[in-house]
Amino acid sequence: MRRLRRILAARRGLFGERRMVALAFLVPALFLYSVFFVAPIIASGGIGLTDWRGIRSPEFIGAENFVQLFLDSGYVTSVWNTVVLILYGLLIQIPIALFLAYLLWQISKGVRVYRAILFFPVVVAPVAIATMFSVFYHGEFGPINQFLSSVGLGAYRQRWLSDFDLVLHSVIIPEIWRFIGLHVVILLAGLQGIPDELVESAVVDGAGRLRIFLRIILPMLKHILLISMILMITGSFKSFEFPLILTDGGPGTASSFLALYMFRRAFVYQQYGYGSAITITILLYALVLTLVARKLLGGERASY
Amino acid sequence: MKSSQVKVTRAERRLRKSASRKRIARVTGYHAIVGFFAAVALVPFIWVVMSSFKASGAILTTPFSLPEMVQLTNYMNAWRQGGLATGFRNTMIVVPSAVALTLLVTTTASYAIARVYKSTSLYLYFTAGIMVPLHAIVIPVFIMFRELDLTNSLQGLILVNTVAGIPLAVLIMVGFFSGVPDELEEAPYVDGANTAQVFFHIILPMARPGLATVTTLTFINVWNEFLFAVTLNSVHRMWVLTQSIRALQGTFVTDFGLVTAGVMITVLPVMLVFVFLQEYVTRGLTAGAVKG
Repeated sequence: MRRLRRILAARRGLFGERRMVALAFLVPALFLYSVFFVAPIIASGGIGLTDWRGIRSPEFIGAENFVQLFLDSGYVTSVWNTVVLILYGLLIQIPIALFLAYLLWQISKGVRVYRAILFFPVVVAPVAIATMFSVFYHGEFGPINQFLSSVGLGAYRQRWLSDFDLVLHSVIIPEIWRFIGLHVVILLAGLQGIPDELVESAVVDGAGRLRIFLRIILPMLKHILLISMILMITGSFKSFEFPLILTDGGPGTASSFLALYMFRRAFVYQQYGYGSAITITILLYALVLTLVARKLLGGERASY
Repeated sequence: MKSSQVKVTRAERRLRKSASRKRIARVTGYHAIVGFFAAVALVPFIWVVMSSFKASGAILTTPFSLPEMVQLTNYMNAWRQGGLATGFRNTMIVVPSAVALTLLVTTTASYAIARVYKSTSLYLYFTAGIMVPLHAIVIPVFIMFRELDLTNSLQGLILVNTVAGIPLAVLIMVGFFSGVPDELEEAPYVDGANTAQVFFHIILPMARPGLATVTTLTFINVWNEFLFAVTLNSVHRMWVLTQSIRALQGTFVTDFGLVTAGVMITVLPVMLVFVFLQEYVTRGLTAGAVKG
């Protein structure tokens, strides 16, 4: 025993072998993460205060980019469209996912299969799904319009991706569809964590199904719902592949979202300063909405 | 106890029977609803699989019929004319390299964080990145890579994909390492093993489920990655698969056979991983949500 302690003490000293090896273990990840992840986030803040185009050198202009943003109709439209995307998530995606998770929770057979099928779109490359939907939506030959014609609803054929009023919804729907399974899995895990006795005792007391759901299950699920919502909100600010591939944000900026708008400004127009200013606003919006969601659902420790 | 159970009145029995019948009806209803949504999730993919085997003309005229015969022309055209061969090759270089690098740097670092330093602040520093969308770093990374001459190179993509995978991988691995009891590590030290040996021979094998989770998660994320590819790689020769698919859609708009075959080539490897390693995939993709 004494020998063991001596060996361990030698290795565990401040400059012992164990500490030195651990340092060598830590440094590569620490270096990569600090230089290529943390430093760029901080740099974004600085770049956002400059006028920096193409290969010219940056010029400090203070907060001018941020003032410019709110006069830029493309930016304002992108903010609004992102809000619509979040509303779709809040009012359609998460309620559907919650409903499905609630049903799956009460089914005993086939849950794994349903879960797997619903989750499948989550693992497929967004680029591939967007490409799929560009085929589905094709105005002349796309299967959606073809289907409408073949069942006698030809009058309802649409120019899904070029109709000014429709395009935003056409882009949002596949995006909402794709992540339903993710929320189902998260919420189902939450439901399975609710102690059986709680529900059983309510049943014994003669409480109805709806009452049990509203009074017992929903409050118990608050933390997990919050996680789903935060994930949905931050995900909405990342919406990029779908609008890029389906419409490139068009017609005009009718289907542009914040992440795509940032990308276009920075990499199509090569305005790195302006693009970084957009990035900063994205981070701020996401932060504020996350805090609001947390406040409303009252789960301070929810994300741990 | 028993006697009271035996003495069930007829009325009671009838009541129970109807209750169980109601239950069956209810559960069947649930299956119908969930089944409908499962179909909504799957049907678009089934249409793509079917179309990828059909001649493009047939897709336009009879979009909902089964393929008359399975023909691989679309796949061959997408591969050659569509330029998917290049994208596939580059992806096959980037993905395994980024996965291996991520595993190497994050398992070692997580071991140091969880078992040697036992440092909460290091843990929080690394995992804070989960909350940051990668869009936030794409402009500075592009400028940095332009200076370092890492744009239009597979090395650059491998590097940035590795970095992007660090936060979640550290979260998962620290979770696994911190559960290992101290005694397991002490015994081999007495036998004269050094720290690296203890890590590779004792600790790492114990964290196998964690390794599987990180591997599948990183595989899928890097395979599907598009944002960094499209911003850092403009030269055709360096394109990865996701970029090739996008070009395919732009060039061969109504050649639905070719486009759907291209989609299938991108989806298939991920689908295989998903089918065989489903538990790890779901765990990995929800890990950040549930724990982070």
